[in-house]
Amino acid sequence: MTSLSKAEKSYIQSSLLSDPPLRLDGRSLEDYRPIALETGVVPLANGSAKVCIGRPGRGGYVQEAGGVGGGTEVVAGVKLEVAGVGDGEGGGKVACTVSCSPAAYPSLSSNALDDLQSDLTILLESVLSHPSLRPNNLVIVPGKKAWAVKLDAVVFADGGNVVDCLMLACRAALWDTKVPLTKWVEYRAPRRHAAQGDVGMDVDVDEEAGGGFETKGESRATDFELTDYWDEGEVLSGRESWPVCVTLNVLSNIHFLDAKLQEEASVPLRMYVMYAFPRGKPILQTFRLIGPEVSTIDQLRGLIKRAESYARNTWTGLEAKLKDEEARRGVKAREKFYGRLG
Amino acid sequence: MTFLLPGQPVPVRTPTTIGPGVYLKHGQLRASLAGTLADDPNQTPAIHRQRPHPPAPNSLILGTVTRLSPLHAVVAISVVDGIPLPAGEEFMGMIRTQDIRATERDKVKTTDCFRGGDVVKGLVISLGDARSYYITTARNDLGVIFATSEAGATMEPVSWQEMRCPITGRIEKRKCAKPENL
Amino acid sequence: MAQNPFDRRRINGPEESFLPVFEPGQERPTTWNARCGRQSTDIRQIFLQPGLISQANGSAYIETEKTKLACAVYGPRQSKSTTYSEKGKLNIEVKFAPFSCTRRRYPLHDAEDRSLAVAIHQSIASSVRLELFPKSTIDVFITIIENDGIEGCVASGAIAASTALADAGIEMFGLVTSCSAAVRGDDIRLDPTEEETNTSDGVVVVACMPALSSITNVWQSGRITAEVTLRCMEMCQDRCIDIHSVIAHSLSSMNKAP
Repeated sequence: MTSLSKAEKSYIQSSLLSDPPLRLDGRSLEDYRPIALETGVVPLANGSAKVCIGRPGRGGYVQEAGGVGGGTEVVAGVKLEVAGVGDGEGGGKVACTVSCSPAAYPSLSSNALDDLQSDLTILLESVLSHPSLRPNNLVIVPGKKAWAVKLDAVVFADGGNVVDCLMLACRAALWDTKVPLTKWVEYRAPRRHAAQGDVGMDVDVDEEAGGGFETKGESRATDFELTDYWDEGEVLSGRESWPVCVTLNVLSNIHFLDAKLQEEASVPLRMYVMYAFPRGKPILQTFRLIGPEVSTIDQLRGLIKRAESYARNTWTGLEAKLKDEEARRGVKAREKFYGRLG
Repeated sequence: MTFLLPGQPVPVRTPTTIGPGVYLKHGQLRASLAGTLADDPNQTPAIHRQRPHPPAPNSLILGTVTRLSPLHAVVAISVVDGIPLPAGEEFMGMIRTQDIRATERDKVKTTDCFRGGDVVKGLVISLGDARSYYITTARNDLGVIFATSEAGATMEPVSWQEMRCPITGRIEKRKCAKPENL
Repeated sequence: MAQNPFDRRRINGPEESFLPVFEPGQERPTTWNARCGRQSTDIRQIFLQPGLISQANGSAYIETEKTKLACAVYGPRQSKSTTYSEKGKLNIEVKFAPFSCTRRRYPLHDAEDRSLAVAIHQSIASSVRLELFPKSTIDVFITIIENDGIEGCVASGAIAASTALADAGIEMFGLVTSCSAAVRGDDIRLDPTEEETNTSDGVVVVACMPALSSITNVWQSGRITAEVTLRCMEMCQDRCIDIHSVIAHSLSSMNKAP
């Protein structure tokens, strides 16, 4: 993405490979930049989160080379929409879209930006829309209507490591999502006494109790209404199984985390490792190899194991932060509700 | 003759030079093309494959002049090292004024050396810029090898700077290549 | 004796009748059925033929039961981009034939084409000696004629592309082979069909160069533990060696024939 001269590239590579390894901003290989997370940033969405890795903007005390000092900034929002359920579908799906603001990639042509967007969208979609992660409390009216989760992430600034940032934001936004409580509404047609003696056909009238809508043994509920409740609704079920991503940047026999743009451009191989720890049990949710370099099975075996411990750190940190946020916003919401009553 | 596949180790020998179709990685010589390798252990290991390939420095090319400007002539390269490229897949080349001839370079006018439609034999001197390869004709055997006169007839060279139309007898200026059998 | 064909006192059946049409695959099976005809570590038989498309510099056709695709290689030709590039570019385009799936595919580009192209690009890009083709592009066009699961298409696409590149005489570090696996619980099945991937917990696709024992692509999604994923990768890598001999056989018989 960023064009890097050969000299710059080899400078970054040789300092990473030196002993002790040196990075552009003095971090150690396994350090992340500071991560800031806030949920509930988009008032119109059912769930949202904003994640910044590194300092947002340039207003820091160190101006970095090339003037690209900023961190990565992603806002994700979840909108729930009522959608019909097709035949044979369980109902409820998660659809993801990533859009990259041209402001984040000023050097990319609009075609290249589209490609980048669709690549990130496909990656996220394949992780988050996987049938194994589908929440099961999205059904409104069984067989007829369900909530469709529309997850949209916008990259406002890219200072490297955009995939980790996206996954953090998406996970936080999904965690924050509240599904409105609904009640079914039934229509019950009056008992049918028609169809007698209008044509010469003498057919037995269906004497069963039940409405005209009842065919094929489907449920009678045809519509729904929202219940009135002080809270916005219930959380998505299975929200503890959405994974977090750790991007390993591999350069010969070393690897490092949270690469900046220049570092990203100078490593030949990257791995996206996404782990989830539902009830503490590690599950590999997605693994991708990116870049023009080859690997071996032994190297992969080692790195997947290492990634698990990194992911667990990220996971615990995120989990704690999300609980904090939930508590903070829960208090606020309750105060607001009772304040309005009183 | 042994048949090798890409990635297959080349059974050898201690090579000092590596021919085309073979590469050296981690101290092991391997084939990078599917093809046969000569069994002679004294020969440079190489797998030859006849296929159209892009121009490289020092390849001899044939091309048609498509555009002229005071500073350069643009050539559509259609034959590289004697192998014709598929139709429609020409590479763009450029002959700059300073590369047209070896002497009196400062007095060269492109219009006195080439015309649109001339077929030129040239030598690639560098990969050039993003758009075109740089080509030189500054050698006796390089230059225009085929040209039509204003009357539409194929001209014949009379000197290294002139060609004559067989119909009208008029002389036109070209930087001609010396015919090979002379 | 002309009879009135319509008798009002009887219940008349229709004059013509048709068999109801059951579209296979419409109802999604939710069970992990036992495999018939092959072991869980077996792959489907592969038919691979290089050089079927005469117009292209190199080509290959691959068929593994219900996955059929054709691949053509053009180039190296001049890059159309305006920037100077020292290395060649490998451009891969994947196209689904409109009749390749149970539901008709609209014959325009969609997102799936690109995701497939990206996966296949990752599988074979590191095997091509792109440093030998400055300023040039190598175009690889893959047409999926019949589709039996995306993972199978990624794997077969990589095999076909690598064979077609070898057929075109483009310098490579090694031949790429690829194999997929589906996981359900602790059960691993290699080269799954679409039905099996739909009912699985997750899938793994591995592409490697058996000659150099290096891995060029791993594509895992779904809910699998790291241990099982690694086991899948090892099994796929083993199977890739067998697939490599299929490519070797097809390429060498191709070279002997003329």
